[in-house]
Amino acid sequence: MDDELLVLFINESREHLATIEADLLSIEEAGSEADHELINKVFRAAHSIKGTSGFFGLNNVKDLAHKAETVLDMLRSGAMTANAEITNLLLAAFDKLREMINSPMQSENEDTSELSVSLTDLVSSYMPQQKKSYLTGTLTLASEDGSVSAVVSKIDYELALNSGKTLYSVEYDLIHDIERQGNNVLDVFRLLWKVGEILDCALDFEAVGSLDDPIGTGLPLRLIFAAPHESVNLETLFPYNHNRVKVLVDPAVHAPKAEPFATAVVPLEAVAPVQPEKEDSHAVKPQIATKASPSQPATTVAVEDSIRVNVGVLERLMNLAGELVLGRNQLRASISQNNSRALVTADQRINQITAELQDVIMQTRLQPIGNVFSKFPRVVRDLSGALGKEIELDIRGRDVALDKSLIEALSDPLTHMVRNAVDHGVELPEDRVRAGKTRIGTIIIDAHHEAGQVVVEIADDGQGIDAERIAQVAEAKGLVAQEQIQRMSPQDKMALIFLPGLSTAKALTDISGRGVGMDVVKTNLDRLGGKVEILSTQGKGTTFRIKLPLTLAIIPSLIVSVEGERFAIPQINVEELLRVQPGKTKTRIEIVGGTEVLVLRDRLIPLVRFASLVGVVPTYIDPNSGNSREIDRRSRLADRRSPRHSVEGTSEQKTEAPAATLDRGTPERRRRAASALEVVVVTTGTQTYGLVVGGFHDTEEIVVKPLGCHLKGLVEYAGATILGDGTLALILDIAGLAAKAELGIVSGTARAREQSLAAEQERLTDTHALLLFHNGTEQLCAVPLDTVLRIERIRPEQVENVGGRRTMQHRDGFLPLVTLSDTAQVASMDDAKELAVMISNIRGHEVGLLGAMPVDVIETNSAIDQTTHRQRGVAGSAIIRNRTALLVDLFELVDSTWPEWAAQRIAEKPQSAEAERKTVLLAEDSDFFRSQVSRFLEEDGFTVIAAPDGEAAWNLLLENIDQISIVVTDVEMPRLDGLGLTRRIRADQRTAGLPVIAVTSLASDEDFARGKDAGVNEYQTKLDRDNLLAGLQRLLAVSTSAQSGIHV
Amino acid sequence: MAKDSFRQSSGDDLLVATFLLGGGTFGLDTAIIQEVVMVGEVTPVHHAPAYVAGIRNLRGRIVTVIDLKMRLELPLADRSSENRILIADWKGEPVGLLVDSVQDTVEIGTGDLLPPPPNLNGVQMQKLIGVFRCGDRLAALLDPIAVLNPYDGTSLSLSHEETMK
Repeated sequence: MDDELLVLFINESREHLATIEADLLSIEEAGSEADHELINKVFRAAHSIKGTSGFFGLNNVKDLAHKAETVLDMLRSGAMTANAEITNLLLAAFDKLREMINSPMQSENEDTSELSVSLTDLVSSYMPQQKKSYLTGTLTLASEDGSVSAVVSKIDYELALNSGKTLYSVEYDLIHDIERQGNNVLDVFRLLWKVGEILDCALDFEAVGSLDDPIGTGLPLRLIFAAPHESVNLETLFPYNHNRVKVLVDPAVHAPKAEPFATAVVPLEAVAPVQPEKEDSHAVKPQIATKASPSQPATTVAVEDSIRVNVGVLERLMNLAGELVLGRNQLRASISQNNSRALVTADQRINQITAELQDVIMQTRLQPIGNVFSKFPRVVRDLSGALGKEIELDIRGRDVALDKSLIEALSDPLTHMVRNAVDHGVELPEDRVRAGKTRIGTIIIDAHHEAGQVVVEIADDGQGIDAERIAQVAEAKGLVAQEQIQRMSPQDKMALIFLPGLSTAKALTDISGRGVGMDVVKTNLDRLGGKVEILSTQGKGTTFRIKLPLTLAIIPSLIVSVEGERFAIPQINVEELLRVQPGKTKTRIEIVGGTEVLVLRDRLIPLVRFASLVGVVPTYIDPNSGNSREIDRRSRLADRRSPRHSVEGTSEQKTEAPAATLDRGTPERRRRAASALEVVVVTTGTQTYGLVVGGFHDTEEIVVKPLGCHLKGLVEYAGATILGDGTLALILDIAGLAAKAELGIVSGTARAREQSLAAEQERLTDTHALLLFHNGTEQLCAVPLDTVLRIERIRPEQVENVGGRRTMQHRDGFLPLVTLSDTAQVASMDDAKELAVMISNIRGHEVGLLGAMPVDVIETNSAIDQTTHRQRGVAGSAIIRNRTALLVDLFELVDSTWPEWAAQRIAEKPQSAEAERKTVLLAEDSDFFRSQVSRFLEEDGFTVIAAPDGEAAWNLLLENIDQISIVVTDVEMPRLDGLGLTRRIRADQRTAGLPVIAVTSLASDEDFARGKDAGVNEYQTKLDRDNLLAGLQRLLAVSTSAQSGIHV
Repeated sequence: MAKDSFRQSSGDDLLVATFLLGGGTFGLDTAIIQEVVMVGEVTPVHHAPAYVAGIRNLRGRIVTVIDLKMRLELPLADRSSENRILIADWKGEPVGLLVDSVQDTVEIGTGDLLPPPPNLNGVQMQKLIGVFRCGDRLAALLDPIAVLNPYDGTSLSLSHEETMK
């Protein structure tokens, strides 16, 4: 037989089988309410497999499909209602069918007897006694003129008559009637299925005769076809062989009056698959008459048969094809004119069009992710049944489209994770009840778009992941070192389940964790360019979030420019655009807790200055000459990389920069620094903020392209795109930018947000914000961000040497400057090309610390080593970005440069402090901050008792209750936090009167309010030495006078 | 380890493309170089690792451009019209290597390859396979894997993203 046809048949059958599982499960779920159309769909699948397999002589397949069809027909008629048993049997039958169809050559050797018997038993148990013989009985029918006879199974005959159909014997000549007409058998079958059913089909090889017969002898194909008499138009349905179509009747009972098949038969109005409307069949007819191409008759049969392409995409393809023709014309013209310049242009143009064509064609490959999801109900059902669990599966976002290849590659990892959720996530019903949860667990599979990416979440409400346990196992297996674990957040510990090696542990399946083959999941997702995150709360559940790149998608985007560079913001994230006029900035923009906030109608929206966030160097316009004093992009590139870059180099490069860079004049270049603010209000769905950009451009449909592996860690970009003019623009990841700007947590679902909030809370306890800069060429340095008031960028020549001390002109006065090399043994930075001045207020004086660009701010929880690199001016060191960063001790630096300031300060201090040494109880969990604060408190004449957490502090307080006259506590601490400690102090009458100062690195108004509630007297910023001391003095003075007041 | 496997797989003779970087001559196996292009317009990527000069459009593909001098911690010099980008393939992804100028291709036998001189700095040492004589001067043969690999092998890949933050 024709191999091509067989392949066609296999593909078609697979498509039919693809959705059957899900359909059967929902039929079972709906029980007697089952959607009639859905049953019909499954029935049609079985039916078409039965019909076609007969043609290929796959009798085993045909028989099994027939049996399944019978069961489905009884479901359809209401004679039986789907239950677990029936569904199981049908699932097994379709599984077997799939297996046989996948290797059709072996199918005849497969043993299907067991399934056949079960199916027959099932049918017969639902049948009225007197009809049981129909199951096996056959009937010989003959045409009215007696020229043709055929053997039909009784049940088929009964069914056909019951639904008002007439049986036809149809004979085709496979060669003349079908192939020579440009059709194939499957097309013919499809056409017939639209009108009725094919009960049987067979090729009559005997009629072919021997090879000696003249060429052109036909190959008869005989069908038994059942269809309502009125919808069969012989001339159109059988254009070439209508004279070989005969009506079959039972010679014994001419026109029998059919009895109802079962006692409760529902009258069926549409038994024929996709009963066509009258017009519909007319519409099809001409196609046949004019030699239908193979795909045409399929259009109305089943959706699965064709690829749906969005009309917009088709239009783009058309446009591109048009452009390609233009490009070719251009190419031809330039070749004939021998114009090499035009040739280059034409080449570029064609290149671009081709690349775009390729992308758009790829677009047509997008498929709904529901194709993968459809198998999960079965997975969950089977697995939970086997494990004795009760699980409800909720699938959302089936329509989200992904590339076909991505869908295929996702199938395994997703299945694995779903299995994991069933196996290790959701608990047994009894355990759930004991834990106070509902008996039935829930697994939610959700796909949605988020910030230009597709996010797939698999969430269960099970027992969650025990991060500590995972860490222990990982350590026991020698996968991570103990000190590594100590530095890990719970989030990191959970991520250990992705480590290869951990997964092979049998023990892990026993404990509350997961980890069977999770490394494979991670590897697969990495290969797709995806990311996976775990959010888990013990006892509450686990969510796996998979972020997939939308590599092939075209998304409408707003193009913005910032200092000459262009960026794309996905339109989906853009809420509105607005311009704050120069005069209005005061009223529209407020400073709240150190951040700029835009007042937009009744909302307050945090502002993110894009340029400073990503570190684009601002350009200024000289107000006098109108010339822009910009630093062009190329030299800036070099700046970032080398402080040694020569100044001469800059000017040279400027002249040599390609015209395109400068000419691509963007509106903001002509504006002054103090011009209007262009704000894009963006949203991630859960969070809204204003992005301050340089200027708006058009919206463009852009093709998202992934960034290379060297740039994978950058959360702020979703990819890059090629703009219409061939230049590149980075696509901003609005959620990633928000995270970068530390605007808070950005997550999809409320539950995920809740979980990540908890994780964030954990993380906060130990992080400090550091300002990073360079000293000399190589040395990375850091100062705690709290100590810096502001940062200014200067050129080296602005630094003046006056009397051996460095200063610079700053706001009408001189700003004294220090560098780390003044006191510490580090390289000097005379060769730095661009300097940053970090201005702090120390001992009542504004001082600038000189550093080399670039300057960056990070949140880190890395440990601070206070011994190895300790020297004058250096408080310690920390490993940041795999490099050693020196932590600058500004106070020490300043004190050793201007010792007189400290002396002056001490002199101003009230005498009482000198007279009696007061004792301070200091509670602080960070070793670094604890020793820093202790040191300067001691220098200022206090005795310090220090504790690493609130619990220890409380014990120390009770031990030394007579000495301690004031408490200074950090807010975020393990075991007992600062507010808890304060409450405890206030609650105990021995200590209730003690003044308490809370120090923190994060202080919003809300924090202040909570502190006040707990009984904190004052809030101070960490390491703001002068203010802390002032606060101490103030509170001590109050408490002594209060005490003396009582005495008097 | 990577160097050894590379050397073995390269067989006896090696066709090496030579180029200048900060006055020194360097070479790369031509097998990994797909083409050499003009610098063109390189779009900077802020917050990228320092050795990434930016991204560039190469006929519709986005190429990450690595500044080889930065990668090897060589002193930087001005851009010139001689600058070129070598397009290499890293696991199916095009990666551009920015060099000062392209010189020649030479054939060297494994016998011609000498161990790198010990007075090189650590970074260069890691990224070299060896040195060979090229005309009247010495040229350094770069290890393509060490040059192209995005991970420096110092951090656990899991925590990599974390430390980047």
